[in-house]
Amino acid sequence: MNMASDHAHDRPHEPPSSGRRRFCQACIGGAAAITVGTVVYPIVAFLKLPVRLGESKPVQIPLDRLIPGQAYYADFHGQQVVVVMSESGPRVFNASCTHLGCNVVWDTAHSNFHCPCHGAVFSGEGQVVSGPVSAPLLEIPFEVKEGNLIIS
Amino acid sequence: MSVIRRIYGWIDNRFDVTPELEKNVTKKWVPRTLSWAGCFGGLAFFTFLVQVFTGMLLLMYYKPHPESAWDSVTFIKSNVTMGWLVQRIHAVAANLMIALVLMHMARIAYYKIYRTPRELHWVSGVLLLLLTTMMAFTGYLLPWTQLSYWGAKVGTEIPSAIPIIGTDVVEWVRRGKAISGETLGFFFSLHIWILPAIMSAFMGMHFVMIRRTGISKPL
Repeated sequence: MNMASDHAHDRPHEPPSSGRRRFCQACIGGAAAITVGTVVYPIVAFLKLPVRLGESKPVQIPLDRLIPGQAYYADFHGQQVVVVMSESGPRVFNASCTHLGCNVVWDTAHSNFHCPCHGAVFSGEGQVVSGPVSAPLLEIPFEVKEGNLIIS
Repeated sequence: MSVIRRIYGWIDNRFDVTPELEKNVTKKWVPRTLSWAGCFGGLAFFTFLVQVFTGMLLLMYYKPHPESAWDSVTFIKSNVTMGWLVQRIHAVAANLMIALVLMHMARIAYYKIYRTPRELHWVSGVLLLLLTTMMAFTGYLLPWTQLSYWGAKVGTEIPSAIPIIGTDVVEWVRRGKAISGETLGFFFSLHIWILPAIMSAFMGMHFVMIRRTGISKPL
């Protein structure tokens, strides 16, 4: 300690804003910034949403698996869709209730949908029957190819 | 810079932190004769902190279930950005921590630093060594690989050497007769909460005692 302070007295003090001092400060600051960066960058990168494989596959359901009066749920782009076999053929709806977005549940006994959150009821055709909703269930287009129902 | 200084000034005005900082950090000198070997304990603590933070990150994706544990670790390593790095740092820091703890203890033993008034430092230190190895052992099972599985099987077999209660202890540790999903869940809870909580308590004790007695000053 004493040695270090004696050493400092050997030379005249340089003004605090001299070029050499600022250069040293920039070097130390830069090294510190690089160090912090190498720690922070992997952490921030880790927190990014990861790439999930096979996320946007089309839904494919064989038609002979669809029984009248039953509903089939499937995941489509992270959304639940529901397929209902009616007398006029299959219909596909977005399962999220048009009130606040809970997934509606198919009631086989009454052939309608009811929402578990606030009790909304939709008919098998997606029309509002009762509850705090004004809009019918969103219908999703589909195509039938080689005996398969395809939502893409 | 002046912004930081003003924030510091605002806090200092209210809590008078400067004398405490000077006493404990900025004007607390390291004895000149202390060698770099005196850093092993502090470095072991640093690797512990590294593992706490990387562990928090891994916990975002890890699933402690026999059917998904291996897949979730593979997902971290191959799908999460920088996931391989975080997972590797967590595992390498564990090895480093064991090495640093042993080097720290070897130095304390060689210079007889454990003598009065520092007996309890040694006792708490030995308990911390045991807790560290338990952390390593429980963490080793979590990726649910062949090595993990058989490592846990061989490791949990050790208490069976205890007379009379040995087999009961083995069964208690495994949460059943064999290594199963129950073992995985138990080791997971030990690894992420129970052991780190106990370790933190002993570390706090270890550090407070060092501050009270002062570190052993070499000649």
